[in-house]
Parts: sequence; structure tokens; C-alpha cells
Amino acid sequence: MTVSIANTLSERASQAVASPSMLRELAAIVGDPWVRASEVDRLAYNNDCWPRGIILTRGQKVHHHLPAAIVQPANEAEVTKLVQWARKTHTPIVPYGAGSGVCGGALADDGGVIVDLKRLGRILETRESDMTVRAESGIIGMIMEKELERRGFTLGHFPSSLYCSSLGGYLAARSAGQNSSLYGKIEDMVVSMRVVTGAGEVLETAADPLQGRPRHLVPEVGPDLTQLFVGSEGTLGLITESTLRIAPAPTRRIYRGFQFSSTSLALGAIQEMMQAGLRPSVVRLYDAFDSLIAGKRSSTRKNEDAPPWLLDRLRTQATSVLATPMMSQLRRRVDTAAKGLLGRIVGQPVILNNLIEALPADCMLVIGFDGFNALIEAEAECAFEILNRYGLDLGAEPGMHWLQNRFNVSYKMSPMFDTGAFVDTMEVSTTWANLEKLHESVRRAMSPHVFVMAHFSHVYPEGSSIYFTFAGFGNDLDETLETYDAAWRAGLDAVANAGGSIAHHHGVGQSKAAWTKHDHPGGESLFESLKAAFDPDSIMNPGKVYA
Amino acid sequence: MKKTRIAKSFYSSRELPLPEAEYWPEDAAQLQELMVDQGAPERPRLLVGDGQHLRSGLLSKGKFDVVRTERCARILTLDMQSKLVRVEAGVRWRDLQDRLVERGVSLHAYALYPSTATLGGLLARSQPTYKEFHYRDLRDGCVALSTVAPSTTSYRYLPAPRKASGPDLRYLFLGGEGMLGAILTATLVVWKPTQGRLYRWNIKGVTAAVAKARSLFDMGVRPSWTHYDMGRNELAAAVHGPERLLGAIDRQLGMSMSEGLEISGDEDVQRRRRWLEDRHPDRRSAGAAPRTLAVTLSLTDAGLLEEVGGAEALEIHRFSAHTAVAYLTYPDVSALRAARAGLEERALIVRPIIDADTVTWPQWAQTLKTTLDARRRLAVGP
Repeated sequence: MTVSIANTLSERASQAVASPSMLRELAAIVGDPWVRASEVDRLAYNNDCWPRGIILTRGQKVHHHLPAAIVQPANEAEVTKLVQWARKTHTPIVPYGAGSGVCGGALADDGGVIVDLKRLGRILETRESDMTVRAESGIIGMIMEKELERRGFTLGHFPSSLYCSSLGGYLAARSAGQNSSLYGKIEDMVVSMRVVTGAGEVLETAADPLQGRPRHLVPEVGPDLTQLFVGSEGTLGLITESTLRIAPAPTRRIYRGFQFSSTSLALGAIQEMMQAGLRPSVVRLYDAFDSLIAGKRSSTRKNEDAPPWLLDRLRTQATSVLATPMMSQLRRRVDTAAKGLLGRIVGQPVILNNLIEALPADCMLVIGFDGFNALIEAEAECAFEILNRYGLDLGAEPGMHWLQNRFNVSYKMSPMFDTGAFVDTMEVSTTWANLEKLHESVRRAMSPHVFVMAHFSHVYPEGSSIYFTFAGFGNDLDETLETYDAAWRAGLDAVANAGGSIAHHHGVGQSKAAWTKHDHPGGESLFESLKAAFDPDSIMNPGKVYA
Repeated sequence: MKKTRIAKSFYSSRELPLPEAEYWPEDAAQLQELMVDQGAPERPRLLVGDGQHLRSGLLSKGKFDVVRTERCARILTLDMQSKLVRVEAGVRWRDLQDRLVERGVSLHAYALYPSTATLGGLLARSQPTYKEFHYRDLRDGCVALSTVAPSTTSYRYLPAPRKASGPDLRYLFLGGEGMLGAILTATLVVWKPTQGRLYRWNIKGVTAAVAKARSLFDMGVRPSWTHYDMGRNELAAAVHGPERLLGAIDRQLGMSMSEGLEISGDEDVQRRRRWLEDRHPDRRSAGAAPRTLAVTLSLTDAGLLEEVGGAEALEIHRFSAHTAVAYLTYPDVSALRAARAGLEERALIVRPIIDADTVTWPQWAQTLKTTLDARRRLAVGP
């Protein structure tokens, strides 16, 4: 793989500014207050949560993806008119929800206009008789979930970005929540969607229990449009509403921690549990390095994903196995990091990655079951019986601790960038038979560039995702970007070569677009046919999904 | 590979028009060759597995040849660790079940399907709104596939769980009714043989059956399959899992849903599955097919099945907490037509088993067809 991320991006300062006539035409559609084109507004949409953009911004390069304007339609009719206007004027448009995507999927280049859907933020109907909810795309996940909980339901979708992400974004990028093993990913929850295609037409992707006919909007032939629009990241159309399955809110929760002497042993236990037909709600296995880093955070009482016992033990083990000069070097570096110079330590990835090689491979599993009655207790007991054959039951505390802190992690990354360092995540997936190979390949490939830790979550009977977290450092902006791009390139090449999927739930956006073809050998022409059918003028979110 | 003598009864029993010729590829590679656009088009080709779910109204006008896929039926790989089997798509559903049992794995967690239908046919039939988690639905358990469209090279979807790498391109073919190409191979989740339990309730009426099924789901029970037969007044649910879990379900149902409940073991589950799949109403060759409607309803509207009335037989082959698929058989075709008009008002999908309705192809479908099957090599579509 020779594709350079930097080469695939339009990093030049896009100076395309909306002309007065463009602003007038947009205002005629959505109203003057809902067209934004000031420098400040455009800067606000200069980046989503793509860490590469954050690096650029911290380096005071702020004009890398400036949209020409931002429009905020109030309803589907306005969205439709915007698409029709974009077709007429050949203007690229980029759907935008809450801007929490981490792959650059909501960035506008080359005079593109952002269509911010936050004003489409209502729950339209919740129906207990068939357990469905219909909502507009701009609604924030936590607002929707709270409202469902108030009515005794849950969507079951709990991404760690729940407070700052939108329903439309979930659907556009095939999002997963922490409880995916029980409730599925968003593509398992969606029944139908209402979309405005790039051709400016309104479609219902499937017959909808909460939508009074117009049957003419529901195709009676052809492929299943729901699963073709989910995950299309705005490249085929804009999702304005959707109907999703909901479930009764659980009344009984059983959460536990388990310790295993190796990742391999733990994965075997999880595999057996899932293939026995058991359905935990949450399964998260942290590798030893992930736990060690969490331990440092614990000592500063900021955030914690792993229990103190394990962290203490890992630190002790690290001390015992490391040669004195290396240990003192590490200790010095950890102290430095504690004083706010964390970047310097992550700038030495080889040392830190070697640490994990030297450590005993103890790892911890957090597992949770959600339900209503004695059945959930029996199901949990069946699972714990399997897990106990491979590992050690640590009781409820680690599980409950995770449950109480589960949304913290998304908001802890930003301070890293203040130190000159960066942190990012890569979520990949594969079958059980290929899982350890994928884990090892990616770690080995990225290790020269960044230090890497991982946890395994979102487990299924046939396989699992791996969530890599990696951190690096550069002495200046150019070096940081170089390290960042090299790490991603090495990581994604390793995933592709190992036969894994490049994305499990963050989507593709710009950052992985050059690697999509590895997940879909021969699929590029199929995607082009979809573009021809639904976005004939190529105005919809150009440059995303495929590069 | 080409066969000129055609078994006419195969087509007449399914109320399908006769082709000019038949092709019988021996494996997926030969099937792929037949699909790829090579030079001047001959007659359009129609992919036929067991021919149970074809909608003849979708066929393009004029003469056509048929490509029979049922010899493409090899088990290609079985990954015992990941519990994934890769098979050629012409394999028949019952054959696949039996052959996998011989290899020590099972398909018990899937919903009920016609036993003679081919895997490719089951995956390709139109079934919008039916993506189910927990692997009851074949489409959900099909984690990877390979396909070919006439104007493109082949496509392969990587067998990695739940990808987020763009649109799920499998769905151009899953549910696509052979309009854009052929499914060559499919990779399915399989299961270690596990104990099963058959729970049966004596229940009169659809509304009561729906309420009972809903209670089951609300309790947290996840049946592998469910079935309601109005003639027998019986709701059946098969559940698989570790014995301890099944014991807990026995006790829970004994406490809260015991009225009219009978519980039996794994042999009954297997026997009943075979019996139901052999008599599955979703087959064009079923005797009552011309008089049978398949109706997908939101559970909110399940009462409609009783309101409309007139059916001499009613089976529900799928329940979820959200929808149900019912098969209603009427005394004659005119009664079917009258009922259909009443059901279409609120049902999600209403489809006669022998469906010859002509359709209006939307512009986007025509564009897809033009880009993926430019020379109209496939007989389905605009």
C-alpha cells in the first residue's frame, strides 16, 4: 500500500466563500437566520472530531476544510429544496449531525455547503404495541434515550459519544453502542428510513409501521434500500427520519469482572460463551497494556476503566521484569508525563510497546447482562460458569465501576493534544479464527510509530471487533502529522493484509477511504452504480467512503 | 452445461412461464461464467434455484433461458472455530441442514424456511423490513457472500462481523431477486448442536396468539423460531440454549404463562421443524399457493388478520416483538382478491404467493440495472 493519507486529503486552505447570490438563494430556502457564512461559523465547521483535524487546529492551521456556508433546514421539504438547488448549481453538499465523527466524514471542501440537520431534532412517535420509535435525524442520542427511558423503553444504543452524537450520524456511519452484543448495531435496529436522495427525490427505504402510507414512496421492487443507505455516510442522500426498533428498559443488571492469565485464554472463553447462544449486553476485554495506561490515569484520579487491583499488579509485574536502567527511564518518563508532558513519553513508542511484550499478559474482562427476571440470572450464571473455567471471577465491583464511568472516556482525549501529543482509535473486526493474528499484526505494524493498546468489544458468535487506541508525538506540526499518517497507514495496511475489516463502527469518512476496497473486493463499481442511481451529479459528500 | 430438454412440470407446477433452454452449471465457477456479459447478448437468463420465490411479474417480456443453480451445492469450507460455513448458493435448505449435522454443526437457530428452497433463492427473495438480530433470519446469519453482476467483475464481501465500511453492498443482491446478478457463494453462521425445547400453547385466535408471543419476548425469551396455526389453535416456540437456561425458562413460563402450555424436548423441536418446513406455505408449488397471501404486519395491526376474515387457513411463521408474517389461504382466488384489498390498507407488505403483478420500476432501479446489467443479460428487471 503506497497511498498516503496526506495525499488523499485536500489540505490546502479552501478559500471558496459563498457569493452574495448563493447566500440569497440559500436564504430563500431555509430563511435568512439559518444560513451561516461568517468566518467564525465556517471555522466552527472546519473539523469534526477527526483527530487529524484537531492536530491541525492545535497547530494553528485552521483553514483546512472550510465550507462555503452552513445551512440549517427545519424540515424535509427544505432539505429537498437544498438538494435540488445543489444539483442546479453543481454545489457539493455535506450532511452534518453533531460533528462527533472521527474519520472526517462531515468535512466540506471545494466550496461545499454543510447541511446541518440539528433542527430536525424531534421524536415523532413512540409506539409500545409494536415497540418502534420514529425520530428525526438531528436528535442527540442521549436526549432520545432519556425520553425513551422516561416512557419505559430503550433503544439499546449507547456509544461512548452518546451525549454529543446524533441519530442521523449513527445511521450514516453504522454506529455501535456498548451494548451491541444484546441489542445489535444501529443497522440491526433500523426498520426504515426516509431519505432525500442526491437526485432530490424523497424515498421511504421500506414499508414503515409508523408512517401512514404514501405507498408510492416505498419501492415495491429492487434491492433493500435500508441497508444500502445505512452506512452510506451521506454519499447517496440525506436521512431525514427513521423508524427504529426499541425494547423494554431493563430492570435487572448483572455486571462482573473476570481476570485471565492471557488474552488468548480470555478470547477463547468469550468465543465459547457467544457460540453457546448466550447474549451478554456488554463484553469488554482489555489487554494488559490498555490496563496499564488506565492505571496511570487512575493514580491521578481522573478516569479509570480497569480496577485498581489489576493496575497495581501490572505495575508490580512491570517493575519486576524490566531491567533497572529501562525501569528508571520509564519511571522518569511517567513522572514527566504526570507533570503535563505526556507527549514526550508517547514520543518513545518503541520503549512503551516493548513494555507490553515483557509483561505477563494478564487481562481483564468486564461483562454485563441486562434483563428483567430470573432468566437473566440463569443466563449470566451459564456465562460465568464458562468464564470461570478459564479465568478468575472478580465479583461485581469492576463491572459496576465500568458501568458508572462508561461515558467518561470520550471526553478525556482532548487534553492529550494540548501536550503536543495525539491520540486516536481504530476499530476493526474479524472472525474468531483470525482475531489474534489481526491483533498481533496491527500492534506490530503500528508499534514503530505510536504506542498501542487495545480492547476487544462488540463480540458476536462468529467474531469480534478490536478497538485499538494509540498515541504519538511529534516535535512540531509537520512531524506530528507525519507520525500520525504513518501510524494510520501502517495500521490499515496491516488490517487489510490480515484479512480484517477496516471499520466496525466509526465509518470510513476521508481517513479510511483509500482502504474501503479491501473490505469490498470488486465493490467499487457497485458503489459507483449506486452513486449513478441516487446521486447522478456527484454532489453528495464527495470524497467520502471511496477515494 | 446447456440442456435443451426441459422438465415442463417443474415450471407448470410453479405457474412459471417455460424457458427456451436450461443451463445447468456444475459449480459456482461455471455459474459465474454464465453470468458475465460476453459479447453479443443471447436470450436473457433467469436464475432459478427451486423456483419457489420468483415473481413472474418481474420478468422482462420475451423469450428467456433459465440457469438452474441447484447443482452448485458444495460445502466449500467449514471454520469450526468461528462457526462459519461457506457454501455454494444452489444448495437446498434441507440438504444443507442434514449435511452440516453430519459435520457436527447445526442450523437450528434459524427461522423456518421451505425445505426444498435453495440458499441463493432464500437470500435473493424480496423481504424488506426483515433484518433480525440474533441470527434467526438467514440474511442476518449470512455474514459474507460472493456475487457476480453481468457488467462487472465479481464482488466479495469480507467475512468480518458487522462492518462499517460504507453501504452494505451485499444488499444489492440480498433481496434483489436476481435483478442485478447472482449470489455465487454464501457464508453462514452455524451452531454447535445445542439442546432445544418446544413450548406449545393452545390458543384460539390471532389476537391472543400475538399477545402470547409478545409476552414471551417481553420476558426475555429469544425463540429460534415460532409458529402459529389457527386450524390447530396452537402457538409453538422453539428455544435453544444451555440446559440451565432452558430449565429457567421452563420455570418462568410455568409461573406466568402456564395456561394451555405443553413442553417437550429436542426431538420434538427437530421433528416439528422438518414437518413445518416440508409444508411451508411460502412455495409456488404448494397446492394452495394460488389462493394464499403472504402478509407482513406490524404487531399493532395484527388484529387486521381477524377483521378482514374469510381465510380458511391461517399460519404465522414469524413473530418478533415488532412484526409478524402470516400466510392466509382463501377458498378461491376471488376471495383472495377481496381480502387483499382490505389488508393493503394497513399491512406492511401483502403479496400473493403466485404473484404475477406487473410493477413500475423506479428510475433508480432502472439506472442500477443499466450500470450492472447493461445488455440485459438477466431476465428480471426493467
